[in-house]
Amino acid sequence: MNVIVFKTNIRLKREIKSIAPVLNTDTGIVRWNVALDDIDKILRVESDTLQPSQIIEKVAALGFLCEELQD
Amino acid sequence: MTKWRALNMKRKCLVKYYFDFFKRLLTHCCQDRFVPLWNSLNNQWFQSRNLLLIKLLSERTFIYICRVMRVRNENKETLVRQMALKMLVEKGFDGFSMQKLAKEAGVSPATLYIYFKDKDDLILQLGLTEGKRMTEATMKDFDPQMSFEEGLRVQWRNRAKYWLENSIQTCFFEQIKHSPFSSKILEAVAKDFKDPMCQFCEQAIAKKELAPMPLEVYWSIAFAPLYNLLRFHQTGRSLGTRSFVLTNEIMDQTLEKVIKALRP
Repeated sequence: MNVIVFKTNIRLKREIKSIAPVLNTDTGIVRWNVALDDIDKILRVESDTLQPSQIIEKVAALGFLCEELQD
Repeated sequence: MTKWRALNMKRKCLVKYYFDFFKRLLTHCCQDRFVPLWNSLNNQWFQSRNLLLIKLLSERTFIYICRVMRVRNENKETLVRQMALKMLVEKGFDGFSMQKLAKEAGVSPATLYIYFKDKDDLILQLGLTEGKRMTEATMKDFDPQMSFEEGLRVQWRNRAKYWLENSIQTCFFEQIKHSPFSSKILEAVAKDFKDPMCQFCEQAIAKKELAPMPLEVYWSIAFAPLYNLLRFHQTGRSLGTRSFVLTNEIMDQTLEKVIKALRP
């Protein structure tokens, strides 16, 4: 299982609710969560098939900034 | 010119072939630790540029490298957990952040988020792991079939040992008790304790070594005195300004009175 970590500008719980339908219905995403307590507003995605760029595209389409957090 | 270009293409194909092979090997060896491991190895290989070295490396050597790096990663994970416990106890749950932990432990936040979903998940995972360790330490050499006196003595010895050798973990558990994580963690910890201890008490009651009583009354007499003595020992003071050091004699004396009190 690949875990990919992104830095985002998702700040509020209702913003998480707005991206939830898209991320929940994506078959490539096994599990995802947003850590709002972190200053980088981390989006953490577990997926076997998706590439980081694909996830970035999806989140950007919903109107949020999203960039892969490098090691 | 053409010859050089052809050689370059062949080299690129060979590199790609070996990379795909090694990537699959790594996935097989390292499973969920694949991402941080692959990232660090990836850079190494691209920088090496020595095609001959790649060709000469046998599968066996590569698996050895994977295993060595995996062990190194596990050491890092232990360090991260220890650091996290220390920071949680010192700064409290609210004063703790994943970013601060990453900095102190010398890992990138991205690496931290691979192992833990978020701060709450880290605290939960720590609580469950340490809880398991505590249960194992408490149940060491304990058999529910033992006589009540012998069994309680083993329990007291194990609990005191764990408490004295794991001061950070004990503080952490105190914090957990008064936090929203209490129910989840204490439930999981209690599960492993409950059955052997219930069996032990039922046997003792049947053998007429222990008087039947409500659980809270039992625990307040059987274990509360020990934890009180340990707390006194930790601060170095008992009542008022009286200085205190816990000795085996004081422990034995207290245990003797406890067993007497619990007898039918």
